[in-house]
Amino acid sequence: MNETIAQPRLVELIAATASVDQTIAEQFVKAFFTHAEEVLAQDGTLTIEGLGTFSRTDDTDNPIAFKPDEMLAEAINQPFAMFEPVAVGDVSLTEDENESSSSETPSAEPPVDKSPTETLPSPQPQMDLTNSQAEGNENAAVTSTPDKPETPECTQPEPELHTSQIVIDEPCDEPDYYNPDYSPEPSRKTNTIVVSLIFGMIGLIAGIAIGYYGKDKIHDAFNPHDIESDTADTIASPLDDETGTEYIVPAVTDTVVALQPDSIVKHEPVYDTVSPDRFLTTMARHYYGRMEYWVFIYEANSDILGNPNRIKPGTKVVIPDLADFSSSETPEQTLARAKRLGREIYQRFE
Amino acid sequence: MDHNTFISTLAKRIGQSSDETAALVNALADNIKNAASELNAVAIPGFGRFEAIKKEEYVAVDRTDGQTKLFPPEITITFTPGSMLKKRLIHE
Repeated sequence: MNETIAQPRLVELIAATASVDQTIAEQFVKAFFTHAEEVLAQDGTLTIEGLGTFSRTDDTDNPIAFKPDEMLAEAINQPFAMFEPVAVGDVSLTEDENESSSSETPSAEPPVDKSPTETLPSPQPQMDLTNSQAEGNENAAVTSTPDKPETPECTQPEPELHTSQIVIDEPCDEPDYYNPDYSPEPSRKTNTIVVSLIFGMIGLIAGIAIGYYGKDKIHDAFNPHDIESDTADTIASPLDDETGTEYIVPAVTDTVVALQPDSIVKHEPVYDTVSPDRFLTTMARHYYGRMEYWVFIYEANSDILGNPNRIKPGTKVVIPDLADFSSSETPEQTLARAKRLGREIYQRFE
Repeated sequence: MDHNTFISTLAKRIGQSSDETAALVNALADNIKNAASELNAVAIPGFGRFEAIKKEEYVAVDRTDGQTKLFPPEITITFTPGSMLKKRLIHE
């Protein structure tokens, strides 16, 4: 394939094919082509069966035109002999000739239709294309036959084409990267991140503000003793408001609070009733904060009470003001005196 | 000049009979055909070059019916005259 058989080799092949001596074959080959040359120079045409027809032309570049013999052409083209031209339908091709747009006279080349007696077209397949090229229209894509141009779904128009058959029906959904004004929209992910950051900053600022302005309350919540002392102070001066008619009794505390007699306001006597679950000690804890101060309730009701361990339920007693018993004493002194008084009361009934 | 006339004149030239000359001519044509079938070329100095050319498939408009057709590949044999033959034919 793609080899060149020189004359010596051709001689060998002829000698083998014709079963003759190589000398005779060599002589024959030389005489053959010499004689053919002379015939062409004199007659202008030479026909050799099985090979073809040589004819003289006026073309200086190619003064001999060769038309192969029909049997030779068929034998050579045997690999593609079974193929026939097929109509391609409605496809506009850039390579096609502009059949209808050509305004020049038809070329001298034979038509494409392969008739048995006509020779095949010249080795330049795109013979009509040469015409279009001569017209300067290298991208001629229009043919006379297609009625339904191909419409791709999403393509960009080719600016070089000068045909109206390539039509873009729908706008391209893909980003138009060729448009200098194109600016992609911000993605949802970016927006989500920005919103999250904004809310985070707001929360942080709110937390700082709460922590700054509410630090006192937070401190008090984690330090209950101070609150109790405040409450005890409040209890220590139950009558500061001057309108209170009741004692503010601390819940449970061992703190002895000093009374402030100057701030005590006279109020109406308070009564209470002894019951099976309410003794003098219970009343003392309720009203004075200390059970040891029961002795002051007993002394205030000694005329109706006998043995302190045998007070009948339902006995109504008066609850005296503690200030009447500890006006000039410290709370420690009052407690000591209450304990001593309690021992004296029990000694009366031993 | 037709084939028979060429054979007879050639036979006289080489001193062979017409039948033998015809057989040699047939052998020559067969070997050129075989070479062209294999896409090989045959070069004859002073005369020219026989060469097989494969033409690829192409789309063109058939002038006979105006249809756009896809033409199949094709192998053709071409002849290119040698410089000496060209010179002789141009001057004569």
